[in-house]
Amino acid sequence: MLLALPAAVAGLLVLGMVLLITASVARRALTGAEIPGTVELSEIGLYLSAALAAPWLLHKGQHIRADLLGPALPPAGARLLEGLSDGLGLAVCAVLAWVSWGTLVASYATGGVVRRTVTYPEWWLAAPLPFVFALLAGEFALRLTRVATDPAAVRRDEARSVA
Amino acid sequence: MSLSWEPAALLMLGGVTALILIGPPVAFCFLAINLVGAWLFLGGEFGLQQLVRNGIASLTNFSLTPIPFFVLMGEVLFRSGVAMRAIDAVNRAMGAVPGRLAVVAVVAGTVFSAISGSTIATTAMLGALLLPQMLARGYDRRMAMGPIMAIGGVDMLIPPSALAVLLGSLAGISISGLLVGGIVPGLMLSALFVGWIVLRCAMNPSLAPPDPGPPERATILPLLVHVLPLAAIFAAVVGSMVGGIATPTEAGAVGASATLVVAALYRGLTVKALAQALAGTVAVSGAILFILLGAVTFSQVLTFSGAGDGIVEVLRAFDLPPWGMVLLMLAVLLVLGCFLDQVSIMMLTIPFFLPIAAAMGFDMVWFGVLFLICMQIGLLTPPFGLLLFVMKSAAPPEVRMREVYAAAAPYVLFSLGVLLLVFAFPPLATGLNAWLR
Repeated sequence: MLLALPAAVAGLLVLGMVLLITASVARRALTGAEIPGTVELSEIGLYLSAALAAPWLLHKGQHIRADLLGPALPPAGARLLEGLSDGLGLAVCAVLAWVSWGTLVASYATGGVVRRTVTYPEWWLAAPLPFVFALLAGEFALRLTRVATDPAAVRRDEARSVA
Repeated sequence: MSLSWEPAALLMLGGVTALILIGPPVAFCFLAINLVGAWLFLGGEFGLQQLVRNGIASLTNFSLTPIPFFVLMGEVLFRSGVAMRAIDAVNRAMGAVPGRLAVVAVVAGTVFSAISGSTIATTAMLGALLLPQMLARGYDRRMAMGPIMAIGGVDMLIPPSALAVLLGSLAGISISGLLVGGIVPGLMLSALFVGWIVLRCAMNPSLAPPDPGPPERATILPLLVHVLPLAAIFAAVVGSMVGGIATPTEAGAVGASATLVVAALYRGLTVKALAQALAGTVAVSGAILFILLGAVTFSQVLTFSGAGDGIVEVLRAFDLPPWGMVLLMLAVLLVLGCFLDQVSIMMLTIPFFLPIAAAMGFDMVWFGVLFLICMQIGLLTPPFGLLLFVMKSAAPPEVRMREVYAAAAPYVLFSLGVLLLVFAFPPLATGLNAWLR
């Protein structure tokens, strides 16, 4: 649920963006004026949809990986590489969770606002990232545990491209 | 920190390549290298916070919004069953031509390309529907698999195309120019594929045995019922864009709305189908967009460290004529396409190729279309072309990977031929844009 719920919100955001932009185009065609804030809200929706879906995608093996070396190695080597790969992901996401928390705190402290058609505090945009990277770090940690405890845990069925 | 550009280039490009080889998801490879690059070249902890701010700025970008919309169009048509009915209609309308089902795959794939922005969806659907039929009727395996893979790749060229939007946005090339510019090369490829299939099967009928029993009378009625209304979706995307009703970015949303309406009119838009389509959309577009989280920082570090300019100077030092430089860049893209996914290739090459292309005064839409054709070829080239693996998973277990490679080979050659034609005759990519203007 912890991973699927944000992903479901991401899906609804995409649907909301479709409807909002279409309504704005229709309104402009009919009255000459688009719905105010359409661009800003869609941009925020796009960013949120990508960020909120990321932990779920990792859990589902949907983030693209090339996996060029692993298949060429004997099972023990492939498992070691898998552990290295998950350990690296864990380290990157843990650092980014910490850095994005720092960015959020700094942004809140300075009290900056984004002034466009819609005005909102700057820290709102930074707020989801510590949560997202913490979830990603947790998922990498689970993957690492699986690789460490189960010799058959090397994954070969993950996404290779999104063309 | 002050480093000469060579170590910086080695760190950023060599580092990403090494990490991709080790195997973490590509997005995290770029983020890892960005963390190191931002710390070294953008100013320690400040650089790291800049990385986070850049990540947000990379994605709060209106020009990228068509990516999920174009993917959603394909997903809705696929999950609602509308696409299956369209393919069946093409099948029933097609007369007795040599290699009939293979021709149906190409024609139906072209129709679906015009209303879907996802190569994978097109290939997986045609593979699931037509491959078993062809194999059951005794088609040669290569003749059965090749056309499906080939036309799946063409989806990247014919609008709507999510990757064309991505290329336009990352490279600063006109998105509508790229979308329209891909139409003629895409249709040329489809026509060449049909010609090749008919010729091969006419010369050697054992490749595609004719349908058993008396030939069914081709009827265009299903075509009118199940395919013609889909033209409304294509018209909504391209028409609203070209007609000035919507910007290229907005046209994606208009197309997605039109797709939802069409699916609802066919009574295919159930809550379950919509939920599945949204989940599929989030999976594909989320994976693309999360890689872009590192895009701004990656190119910023390349610029600040001087690596970007350094590599561009090295390439210029070859002192190649403009056509030689284009061929060199296309060769690099084709080689990378054998090993890497399309988004990574764009991230790695655009910071160097675009300044060169711009400095040499190339028409950027022409260059972008050439770039896209290389990406399309990369989907089919061994050892790691994506569609080769999609087909392997759709084919019966006894089909060997070598057979899949061989099935794709003639279509790769046709695609290379079209690449060279567009290279030699730029109006093939730019003419339709000029005509519509």
